[in-house]
Amino acid sequence: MAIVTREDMVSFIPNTTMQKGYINGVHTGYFITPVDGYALHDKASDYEDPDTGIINDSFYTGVCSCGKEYDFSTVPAFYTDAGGSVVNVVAFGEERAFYAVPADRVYRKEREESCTQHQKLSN
Amino acid sequence: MNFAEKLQTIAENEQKVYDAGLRYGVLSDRIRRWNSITDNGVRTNYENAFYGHSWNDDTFDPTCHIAPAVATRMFSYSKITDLQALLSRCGVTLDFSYTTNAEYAFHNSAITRVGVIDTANFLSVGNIFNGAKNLTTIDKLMLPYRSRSFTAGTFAGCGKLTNVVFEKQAPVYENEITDYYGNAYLNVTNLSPESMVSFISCLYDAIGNGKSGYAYTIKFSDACWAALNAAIAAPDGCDTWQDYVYGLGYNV
Repeated sequence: MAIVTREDMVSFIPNTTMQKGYINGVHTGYFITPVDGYALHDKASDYEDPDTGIINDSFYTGVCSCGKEYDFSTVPAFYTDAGGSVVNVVAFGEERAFYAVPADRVYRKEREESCTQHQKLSN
Repeated sequence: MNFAEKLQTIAENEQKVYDAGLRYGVLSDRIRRWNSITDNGVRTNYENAFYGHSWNDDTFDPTCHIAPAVATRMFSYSKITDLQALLSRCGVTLDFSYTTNAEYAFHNSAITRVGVIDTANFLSVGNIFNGAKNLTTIDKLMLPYRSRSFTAGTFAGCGKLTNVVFEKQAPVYENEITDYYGNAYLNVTNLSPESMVSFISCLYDAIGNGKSGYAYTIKFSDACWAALNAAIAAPDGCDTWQDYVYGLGYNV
């Protein structure tokens, strides 16, 4: 039976809290949780709409984890989200990229898309 | 029997013969139609077979068993609702155990329930349920054992998916329920705690088997994790189910 423990650490990603994750006392990765009012983008579960080809970003208000190979202490990397915005991230890899945005921005984006569709129907 | 009674009996029998003929005619029309659709029951390529709005609870009334080798977009955009109930009513089965490709099989369909999906020979589970926005129940999803399977799009858009029984098939490898990059996504908001436990119980215990783990990621929605932690205590003394899954060697 594996014993999982967490240890608080300074967060390198704005508007998140971070913890080191341990299995049986061995450092294995990081837990990242957005602070209240923010949502965390995790690139790993972005997906492409098969009908439109649009890449949908995925956001979480709960905890996400990643392996210890992600270097949170070096210079920020840059990532372009589905809306074309460039954001700073400090954990970036082939599969994972994390950054936090205000939660209402995520939902506003959905509303904007909904309005656009409504306008198309009206036209 | 007098003459008037004989005339009455003849009239009644004539109606019975007419009704029987009508029933046989309708039935034989249906059998002929489905013999044509299924190539007399030997068809294996069902790509786009029941694609589109014209397929609904009235038009989908098969008379023979269906066992597709190819099920690509098989029910995409169809208006069929409870697929399993329809199959039961017709007394036939839909057998996926020979299927190798079922990409987008239920994509954007109106289907609410499917029966047993045996993915033993699937090259990938892929985007089979993508966009099935009314889907609430998968009676049983038998997981594949020789391929990388789930993608971020597998359950994308399945906002009502609640009940799924996951079943693992031997032999067990850690890649059996993950995609090419090692990720598994059940990023739906209404999946029941019991369904989540069913899925988690299929996970290969990398740490317990002496492997390093963490090449793989399991994604449930925040709402599902919260509901699970509230409903069922995490095993092995873990504070949360996320910690338990992490302890098996998966990122969350």
